[in-house]
Amino acid sequence: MGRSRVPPPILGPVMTKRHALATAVATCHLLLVACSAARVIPAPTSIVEKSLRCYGEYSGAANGYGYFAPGVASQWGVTFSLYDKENNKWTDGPWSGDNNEVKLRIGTILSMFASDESREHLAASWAGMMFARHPKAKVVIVKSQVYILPSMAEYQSGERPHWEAVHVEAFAHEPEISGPEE
Amino acid sequence: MWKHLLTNLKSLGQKSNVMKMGNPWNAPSLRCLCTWVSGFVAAPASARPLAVFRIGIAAVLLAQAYAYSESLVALYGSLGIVQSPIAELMAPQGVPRISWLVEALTPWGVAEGDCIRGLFLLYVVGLAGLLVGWRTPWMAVVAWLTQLTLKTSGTASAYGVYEFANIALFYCVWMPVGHAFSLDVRRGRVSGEPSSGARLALRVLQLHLCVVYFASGVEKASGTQWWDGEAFWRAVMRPDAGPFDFSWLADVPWIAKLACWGTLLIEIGYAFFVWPRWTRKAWALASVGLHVGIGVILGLWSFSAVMIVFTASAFLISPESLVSDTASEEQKGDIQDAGATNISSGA
Repeated sequence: MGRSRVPPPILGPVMTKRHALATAVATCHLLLVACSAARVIPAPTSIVEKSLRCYGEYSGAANGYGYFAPGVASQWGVTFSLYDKENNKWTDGPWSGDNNEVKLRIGTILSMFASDESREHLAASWAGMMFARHPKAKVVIVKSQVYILPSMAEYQSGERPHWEAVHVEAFAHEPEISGPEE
Repeated sequence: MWKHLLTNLKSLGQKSNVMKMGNPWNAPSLRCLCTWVSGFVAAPASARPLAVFRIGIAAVLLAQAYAYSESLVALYGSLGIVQSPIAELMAPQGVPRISWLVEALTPWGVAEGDCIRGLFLLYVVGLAGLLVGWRTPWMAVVAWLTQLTLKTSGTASAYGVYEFANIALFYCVWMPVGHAFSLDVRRGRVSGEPSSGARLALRVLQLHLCVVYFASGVEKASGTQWWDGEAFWRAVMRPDAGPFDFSWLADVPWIAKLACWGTLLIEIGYAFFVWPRWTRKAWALASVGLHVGIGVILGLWSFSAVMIVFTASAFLISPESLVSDTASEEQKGDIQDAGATNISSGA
């Protein structure tokens, strides 16, 4: 076989110490990425764990990637009923934002109403915002609701999606004013 | 994939130089492995894929920033939708947030709204610098830290794309993303020559993506909704989804099932089929198609665009600028598979 017919050899490049170190660091980083994705706590001791978590937050290596997993959650919404001193009522919401991006971000906040722990805090926070938006309001009633979507089979048999109230909470701007009854 | 890798190793072993016996490091299989690994992570590569990554990410994030620029105080203010006591509870410890900035600047008479707008402006400047590749590493640091601060302060409203923006900007800090298609190259600040650093960076990007898709696919597969098609139905029937009416899907549930299975196949298969060169392009394009679908149908355009940038730059832009034009297609394939590009016309 003539030399010219032999394909040129593939030579492994020589790794410098610096590159080998960079490779080792990158490997550790990717291990953390994989452990976080698998929801495995990578280190047993708290100091190491804290440091890794901090690094993970800064680098994005601590993320999980279970989007729409294991299933697609129901959508949440919120409406506000406002009352002034004279018991005049008006409503605000469902507030969804000015454009698609803001709508998605507000939708993300709304999805936290699904958690019993954060629902009350979020309702209080939104009520505070409503007081700021409507200075005349003395009472805000926050109604969180979930979008009930039937399965495909149920939809075929005639069921239709609807909003269902899950939690209603009243917030008063001044403690001496009692909230009106709905 | 493993069969492919083993074949690859074998061919590299055949092509490698005569090995000396005695030293375990010179054992044929270990030497083959070392050669393959060093080729995989250290063979000089063009920074073009990384530059496409930098430009794509900066462009998408700039468009996204424009989209929410009118709602900064509502999203990040202490009296915004999620007020500061709750936002503080949700924010991870030890990560910068707007309240730190406000605390530092209030004694100087700077209002909270101005702090938020100033930080946002800095973020936009960082992204613009990244886009054109001007002082790229510094601009990447500015964009990364400001994005991290904004993300932490708005944890309650930050969905998937903000996590990927964080990952991308962190990588822009460390990777040679400004070594092609940049003002830095034009002005001679960086050489723009292929480098081992670019190869390693590309490998990190590629492997990270494989983890992302595999984990995402496996988590989806653990639920019943992705097997009976309900996940697709539930996603497209949400009131906040795109403008299309998909209620007709209830009459043809097999379409929803097929869409779910297709998603699982693309995501779980990504880690395996994006490496062999005969399936790489098809798989990368399939995942791009998946994200186009997500963008159009669900309205998650910024998330989709970021993911498309990730996959396109990692697997669809060739980093092999050193390959001689005289190398055969087979040789180029071998080189791309093993990551070894050190072929010159004289070799």
